[in-house]
Amino acid sequence: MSDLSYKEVNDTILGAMQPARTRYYMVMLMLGMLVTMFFGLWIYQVRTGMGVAGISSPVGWGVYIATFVFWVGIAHSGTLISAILHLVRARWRTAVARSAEAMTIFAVMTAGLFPLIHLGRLGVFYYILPYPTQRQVYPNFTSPLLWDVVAISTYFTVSLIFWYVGLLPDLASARDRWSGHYGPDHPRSKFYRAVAMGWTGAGNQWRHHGRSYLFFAALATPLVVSVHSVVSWDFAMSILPGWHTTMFPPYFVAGAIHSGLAMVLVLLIPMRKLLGLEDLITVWHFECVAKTILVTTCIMGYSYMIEPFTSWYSADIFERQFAWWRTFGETWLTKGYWAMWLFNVLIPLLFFFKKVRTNIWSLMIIAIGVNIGMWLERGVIVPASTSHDFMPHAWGPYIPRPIEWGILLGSFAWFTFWFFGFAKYLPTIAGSEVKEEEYHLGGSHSPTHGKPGFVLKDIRGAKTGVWGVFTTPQGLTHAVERIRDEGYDRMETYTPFRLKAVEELLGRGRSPVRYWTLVGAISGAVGGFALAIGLAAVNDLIVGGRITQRIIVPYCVIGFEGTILMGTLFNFAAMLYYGRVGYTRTLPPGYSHRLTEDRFGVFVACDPSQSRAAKEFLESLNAETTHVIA
Amino acid sequence: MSSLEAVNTLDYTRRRSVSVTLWALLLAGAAAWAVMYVTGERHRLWQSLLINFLYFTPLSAGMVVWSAVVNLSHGRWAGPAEKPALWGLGGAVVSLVLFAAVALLFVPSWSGLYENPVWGIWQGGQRDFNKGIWLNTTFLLARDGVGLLLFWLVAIAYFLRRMRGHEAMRTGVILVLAYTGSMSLIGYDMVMGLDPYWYSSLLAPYYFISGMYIAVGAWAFTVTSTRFVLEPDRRHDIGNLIVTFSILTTYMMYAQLLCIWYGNLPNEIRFLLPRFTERPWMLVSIFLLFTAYMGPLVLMLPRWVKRNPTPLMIMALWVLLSMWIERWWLVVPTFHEGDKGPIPLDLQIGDIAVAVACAAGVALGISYLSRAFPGRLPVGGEAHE
Repeated sequence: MSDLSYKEVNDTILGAMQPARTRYYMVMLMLGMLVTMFFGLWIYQVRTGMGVAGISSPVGWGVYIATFVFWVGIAHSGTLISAILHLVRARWRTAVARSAEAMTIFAVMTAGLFPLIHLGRLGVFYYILPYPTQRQVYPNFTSPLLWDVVAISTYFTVSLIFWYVGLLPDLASARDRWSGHYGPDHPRSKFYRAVAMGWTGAGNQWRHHGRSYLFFAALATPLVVSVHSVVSWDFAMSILPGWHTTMFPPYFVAGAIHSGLAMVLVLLIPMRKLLGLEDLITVWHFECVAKTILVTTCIMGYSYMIEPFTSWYSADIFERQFAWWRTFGETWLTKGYWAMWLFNVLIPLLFFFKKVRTNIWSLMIIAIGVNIGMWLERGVIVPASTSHDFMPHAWGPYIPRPIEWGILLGSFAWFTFWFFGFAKYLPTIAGSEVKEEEYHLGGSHSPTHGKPGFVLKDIRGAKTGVWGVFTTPQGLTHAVERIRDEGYDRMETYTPFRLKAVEELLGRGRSPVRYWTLVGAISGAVGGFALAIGLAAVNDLIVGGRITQRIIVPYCVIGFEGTILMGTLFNFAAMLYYGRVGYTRTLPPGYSHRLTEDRFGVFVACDPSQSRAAKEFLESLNAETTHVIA
Repeated sequence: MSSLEAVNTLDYTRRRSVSVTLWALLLAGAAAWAVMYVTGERHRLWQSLLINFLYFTPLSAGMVVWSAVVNLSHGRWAGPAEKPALWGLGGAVVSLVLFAAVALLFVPSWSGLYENPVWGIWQGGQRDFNKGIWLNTTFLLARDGVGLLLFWLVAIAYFLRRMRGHEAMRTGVILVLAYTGSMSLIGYDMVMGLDPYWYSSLLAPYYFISGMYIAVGAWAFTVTSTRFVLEPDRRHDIGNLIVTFSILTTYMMYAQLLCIWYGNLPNEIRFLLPRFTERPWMLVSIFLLFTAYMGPLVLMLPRWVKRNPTPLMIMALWVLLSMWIERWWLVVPTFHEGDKGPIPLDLQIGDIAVAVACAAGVALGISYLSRAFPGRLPVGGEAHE
């Protein structure tokens, strides 16, 4: 944890958002050119036909699908760090979570392009949309490909909302900084004012925000697991040797987290240097990421051992021949197979040594290696099984063509382009969480309790009152206790981070956001099943020998995604409603811009006749400044 | 010794009635073994011992591993709750005795139970299933026995190091790896291997993850059913772990069954068909769905269930009982592979007596350790607070 003051934390994070230099624009220009190449190649492929790519019978899935799986995997660690580590209260997440979340968004945006690239005829994409149509072609919800569409779009939506909700306090901080710096009518100020949606750091907002964020984490965690499981089922639901194995879902999830964590290192190591964030993102944070990679390395090693063992144990001639061919054959896939052992398991095991996991260069090199290895893993899994399945006469090689490599390279440029944009224009570290962490680690805090019979009243509509601003959270906590005991019951606190002690003093109950989240989740589950079963009833098809309206097992996926999606949307809506967050140009009268930085304020609503007494009372509590709103 | 330390033991056997009851249950169970052996119900005895071995081994092993997991992840939340998890080592004796009984009953010269030297209990002398040396009984029992013994040795080393005040990080890592390895072997050999035609690569991970689920249930039951003093926040965290592992266990089972159901291949679907398409086992499957798998997720949603000792104890007991049924569900239908007509539930009073005796044995072991190593951990979970 850094030793910076709250103000220095703010300055460090927002300082990285200063107007860019020429070098930055040069890099963005270069990335832009590569992105243009990416779209150019794609357009060329659409115009010319899929024949320009190397995929042809018997290998229908090649680099595009492998890259899709790779980018979905990269997207996983953002939510892992944000959600799972938030739930287990791991301290190291605060400094790296925001960038990892951004990485998730951009990786999903990249991944989402590849099914379209692979589709060839873009125009038929709308076939999968479940709407009444005269075409007599309906989505088949027993298909893992459709689960994929539902899962990825749910994941993108949930990740985006989760990221945005976490960003809100820091966007408000940026708004206050740039408004003070450039004036309220500068485009930057206008932009941050719009996206901050009137966040002020009021106690009421923090209360609902904290609860909402916790539920986002709880909803996002199983979602992370489900998404890559669904991706793995694209393969495992077939009966091809090498693809059809029950192990795939957890194996894919572990691999996704493995590559995602490595990508976090690849992005953050240079970013902290370029943006001057060394005081906030330290080697200790990287070491924690490396330790987590060590865990995923062990899972990967375990999975890699289980795969050939099960092939042998199955005594299935096709499974055995396939495993043998992939391991000892004479194709580039065999080399890829051994390379993935090397990059994904053997080399990352070096993280057992503290010297390796605390050295920036070794961290960077191993992380790049893991990303190469994880792409190779997908590059081996995807084409290998169709290339070498049951019958020798149906076997055939797969050699990717230059256009596939070009599009693969372009996808990295597309992803990096977005990430660079984020790094310059949005806060890359969750400042409010860093400050809260510092506050909790800063020393002992005396326990606070509510007062029996005290009921906090709403200050909405209050036009007169007194502001008291304090320099420390402890000062505010003490003051609020005294104000409450003095008999004032209409007040609101404004802080740069959540102060649970003040919430307890004021007897704020638990947020009702939780009920709405539950309502959303239940309605989503019911809606998901109803959609799938309803369409199956309309469709009246027999798929895979099964009458589709009478089965439940595959529809659990749709029901689950519906649960998460609607739970998230309801949660978000409830947070906005109860927290009174929404676009507003005006902030509370007397509101100070430093209240999102390093000052802790309380507004006591009272009649003008009581203002003088209230002001004097606040001054007696060592308020740094007080002023009357009349 | 402070007052908190004095209270924080699980010394319930000092109450004579509890101690006598546990010993009586243990002896009654041993008597049931003897009766089943003498009266010729040796197949049923072996089945019963196997089910309880598959249940109580991960239960007690997992408790010790939970301590290591908490310690390795710098789990600030665990605090004083870590020690009761360590006392799970008390179940080692039951685990090893059950393994020895299962192994000895399977050796033809000892019991005459099975004459086929190849694992696969219903094979009846067929050896053409191409599993090579892997299912050779001697090799199978030897590797599982060695794996189990190594695990318990590491667990003892970890336990002693923690009790002496060491953080025992390296031993903790070895313990987690040993748990994964030994439980994977046991899962593959003693669950999957019962039907040598069936295979599922996810079975071993399912077995050790569900073992951690059983163990966290046992951990919660240990701290709530005794006089162990624990803050509501700590109970809340353990309750959250139960919910998390119920979801994880459900996920592992669903992922496995979905793939098998979808593929519909003869060698795989043979696991699913007797359990999901025919009564009475179909009803057991539905029962498990609502108890072992989805039950804790729904019933433990309210905070008060996790924060108060009695509701948490009830939920822990719920998990423990339902997961015992899950082990029975996992094993018994395989014993009737090839039978004509509906597969019977095959649960009798003798089976329950054996299970209760094992539970009493584990409780006595935990109690002994809590007496021998009372008080709080000098470093570790609390040191991080």
